[in-house]
Amino acid sequence: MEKKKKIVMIDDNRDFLFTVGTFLERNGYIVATADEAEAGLKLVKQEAPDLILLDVMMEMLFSGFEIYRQLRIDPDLKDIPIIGISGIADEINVKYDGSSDNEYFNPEEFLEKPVDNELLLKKVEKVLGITKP
Amino acid sequence: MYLMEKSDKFYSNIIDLLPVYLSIQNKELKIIYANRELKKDFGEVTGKLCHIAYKNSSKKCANCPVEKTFKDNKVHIGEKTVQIPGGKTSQLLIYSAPFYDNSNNELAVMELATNITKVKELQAELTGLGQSLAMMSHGIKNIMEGIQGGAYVIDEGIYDEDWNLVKKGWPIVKNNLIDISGIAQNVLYASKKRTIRLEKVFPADIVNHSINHFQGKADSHGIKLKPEINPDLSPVELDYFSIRRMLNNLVANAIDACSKDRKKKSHEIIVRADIYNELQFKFEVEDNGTGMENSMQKKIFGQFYSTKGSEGTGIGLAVVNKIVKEHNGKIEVDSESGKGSIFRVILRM
Repeated sequence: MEKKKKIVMIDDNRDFLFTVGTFLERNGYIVATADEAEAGLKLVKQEAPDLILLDVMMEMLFSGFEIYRQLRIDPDLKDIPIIGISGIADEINVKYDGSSDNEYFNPEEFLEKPVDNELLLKKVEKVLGITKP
Repeated sequence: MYLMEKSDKFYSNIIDLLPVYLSIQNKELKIIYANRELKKDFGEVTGKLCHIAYKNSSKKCANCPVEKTFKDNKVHIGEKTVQIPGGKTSQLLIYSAPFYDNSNNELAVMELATNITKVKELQAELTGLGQSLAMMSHGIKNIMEGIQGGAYVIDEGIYDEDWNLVKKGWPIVKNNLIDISGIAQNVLYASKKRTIRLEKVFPADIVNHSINHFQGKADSHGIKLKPEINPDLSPVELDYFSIRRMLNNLVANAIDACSKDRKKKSHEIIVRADIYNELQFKFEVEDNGTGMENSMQKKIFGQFYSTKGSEGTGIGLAVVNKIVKEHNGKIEVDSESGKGSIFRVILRM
């Protein structure tokens, strides 16, 4: 049997971490969560996950964008794929346009809150290169 | 003067009585004729430059429609903000039109200005309403996401007969239900014109009601929620339902401020009712949550301002403010970023 893939979720909404974390666990993943940026970075270093789910709009001084930057400059972590999650599209009434912010923020995939669980699962499988029979 | 020579008393009366500011200006923008309405509000303006008369400004207005009309002999429309002497700032909608003599030589430009301050105020209100709806839908959407997430966990728990999972999912659903009912009640409160109904109330009852209402939510976030009530405080005249709403909003905010704070190990909210002085008493909600910067503290009572990013609707404190005003009370905030906040409402006994 194939080894279970590990996902680290970083989001300041604990309910979101628990409910979506439960969903991912029940779909065969190992999930570790952090509700705060610094703890999130530590968790990524410690767990060396296969994928990171990162809320980029955490309302903290040390934002999701900053975590993203730190992950990408760390030679050990820079290759871990990231799915960025945000409610930004609603916030400023425009769709997130990856092209203009590429250098700043360019995750493998991007999802908007509210996150549709099935869509999330598809993106997770896609990023991890899992092909369902 | 030119116009007076051409028109008889009847026409000049009509022009004077028109409820608009009508002036005729020469190429230097000097007012060579002003109707009575214009003089009534701005004094004797004949002979003055337009921008001095309307704005007491030495500079011409940008995009002056009168100048445009002088250039192309066409009608132009513009808007400007003026200062009515001794009065308030007003918004004017301006039409400028070429003014000819009998031999069709353009001599001057006629400017007709209507006060549209009220329209502008309505426009601002509508814009605000639009923003508020956007914020509100966003807040509700977040809550729905929470309810759906909690319901998913409960479903899975029931399916597996894993009651531990059900127990974890249920508070998520319940807390979000508290939030959505709070929003609905705030919207109703903010949109209705109602007169307060005073009745004798024990402030302790209001505090205890709030504590009971939020105990479960506070517990699920690991926040201690406790009352501090001065037993000497006698019943006071209040509108029970609106004061309850006010206190609930303050406690809900305190819970949000604590649950967002990752700096402290433990969090506590104290809800107080105490004597303030011989004439007044106070409600106080103290938390050791995130606290606020000074610059934020000034804005928080305005409608549709929120410090909670995607999770706020910007209505809670606006409603608090409204209720405190209706009771002729006063609200104070002591807050420090990283330390916590105290919201104090002072009311007459």
